[in-house]
Amino acid sequence: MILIGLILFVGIVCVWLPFFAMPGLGIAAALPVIYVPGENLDSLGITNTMLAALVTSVGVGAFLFWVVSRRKDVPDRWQGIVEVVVEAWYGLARQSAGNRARWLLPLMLSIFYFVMIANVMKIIPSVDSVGELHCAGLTPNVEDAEATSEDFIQFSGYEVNESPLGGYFLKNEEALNAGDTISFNQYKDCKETLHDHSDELISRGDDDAIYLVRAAERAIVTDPIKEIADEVALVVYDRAVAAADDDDIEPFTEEEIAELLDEARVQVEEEATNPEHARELAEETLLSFNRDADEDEDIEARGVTLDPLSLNDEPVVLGDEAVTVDEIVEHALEEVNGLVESGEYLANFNKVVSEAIDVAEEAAEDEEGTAIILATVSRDVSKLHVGYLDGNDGLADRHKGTLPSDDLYVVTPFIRGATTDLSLTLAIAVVAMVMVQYFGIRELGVAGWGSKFINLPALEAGGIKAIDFAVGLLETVLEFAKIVSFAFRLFGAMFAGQILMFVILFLVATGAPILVIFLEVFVGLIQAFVFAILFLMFAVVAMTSHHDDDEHH
Amino acid sequence: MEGDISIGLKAIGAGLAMVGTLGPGIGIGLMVQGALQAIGRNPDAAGVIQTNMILGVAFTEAVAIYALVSSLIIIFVL
Repeated sequence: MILIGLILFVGIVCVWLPFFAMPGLGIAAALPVIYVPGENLDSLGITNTMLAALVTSVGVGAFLFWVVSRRKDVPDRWQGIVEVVVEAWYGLARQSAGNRARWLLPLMLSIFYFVMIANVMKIIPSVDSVGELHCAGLTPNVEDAEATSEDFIQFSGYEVNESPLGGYFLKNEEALNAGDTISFNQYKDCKETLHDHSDELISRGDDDAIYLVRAAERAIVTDPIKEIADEVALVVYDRAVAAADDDDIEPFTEEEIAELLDEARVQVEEEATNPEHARELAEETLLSFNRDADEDEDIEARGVTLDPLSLNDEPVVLGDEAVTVDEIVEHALEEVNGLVESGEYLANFNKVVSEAIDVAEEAAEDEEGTAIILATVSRDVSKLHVGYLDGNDGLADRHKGTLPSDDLYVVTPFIRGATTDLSLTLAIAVVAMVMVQYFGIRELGVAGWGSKFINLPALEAGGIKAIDFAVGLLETVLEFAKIVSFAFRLFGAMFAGQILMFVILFLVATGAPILVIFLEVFVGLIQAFVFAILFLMFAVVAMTSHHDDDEHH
Repeated sequence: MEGDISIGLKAIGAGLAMVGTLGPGIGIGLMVQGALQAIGRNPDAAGVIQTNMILGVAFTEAVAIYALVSSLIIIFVL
């Protein structure tokens, strides 16, 4: 029974909840941005690990002072906890260091408490998750208006790389092979949105509305080509069919076709640049997505609310920005005019129309009907690369950039476990080793301490004892190696644990992370213990001189 | 092969770096074996033995952590 219950529980919490229930509700854990150094906080000017270290030290200090200040003979629970820890360490220190334990104890305990709390802080809910929202991408000192893609190197330390497929993505996302590529303009526009819409930033960008606007723009630019090409092709087809049936009528000759084409070109340019026609096309396209609705109703179509009776007044809602149909028309017409002037428009038209005429003539010979002509024209038109529409500078894309989209924003946590920063662990390690030497000097005197490293008596004795001299030099190096080893041991354990926790939380949001969090806490406690006890051991070793050893021989 | 080959090579490098955790794994196993045997012979000394074992394990684990840090640096910094 218990087994069934257990399997059921695990099944619900670890499988159903993160993989079925949460995606349905639209909740997911965020993709972690893993960055090895501490991250700078713009609002405060210091790194978040430094803030965490401050919080830890102030917290631990305040707690300890408070406990000590209300010292009673019969300890209450807080005093009891502190006493247990202190006594345990005192016992350990006495075993190893004898009378000198009193010298060592303050630093040992400080290190232990600080490192322990700093390690364990990672599992508290708002640590590593609550933070500042940035736009990822641009260098911080460049004004957005002037930023060019060369400034696009780094922002608050989140480096950005150009994707081989075009666009940019955060360098950190390479490793986890996630994240979308976004255009440079979108990154640029991000700050404006952040400024104006910061309270709405939880929502996703409206992909459907973007799609609609893009479709409308494309229709404005390419539909005239399509219409006129269709007309010309059909005329040719009809003539050819008629010629096949009736010997009096001839199919079009080259000259006649050329005439037709000239007329058609003029017509195409006129139509394309006609604002009213453009507006009609836009409205048609936008409404065509609302096939199921009544004409009198307000239609909610794929995220866009359109009132068909008053399309003039009601804007197309594009996420948080409202884009009116007028804007769409204006923007697309600008592009069309540009294309017409540069002649590209006509070049495209020629391509489409000549293909259409060929198909029409073939169809007439094979007696296939007009469907294939229309299909070919549609296909060709849809493949046209007209101006900006295939790049990332269209109206829809500019607005997409300003829409809250999770790929553009990065959260920099206010607090991140202090010991996950190599700077902090290095600092503690340096302090610890310097104090170890200090204790050594205090116990043995400078001469005694120095003789451990530069072992002149051994050198003078000569013979086999000269090896002791080399060993002494090696010990000097070893002292520095100990600093490195202290720093990296703590940093590696904590940082790797943190990454493990993030990644597992990202992959399976509930259930399995519990085990990882337990592991975290356990490893954190052990690392704190190890740090303090190694400090004790090294101090003890530093305080014993070689001569003690010799006497034992 | 899609994508940058450099990412792929980095991944291989990171994977190879973790081969270094083999040694500490064996070392910790041996250490704990010794500790368990000692406790078996002398249960009264269990506390002292355990403390020293934890100390030894932390030292060896540090070597494994060096390998992990190398691997992380290869992936995230290079």
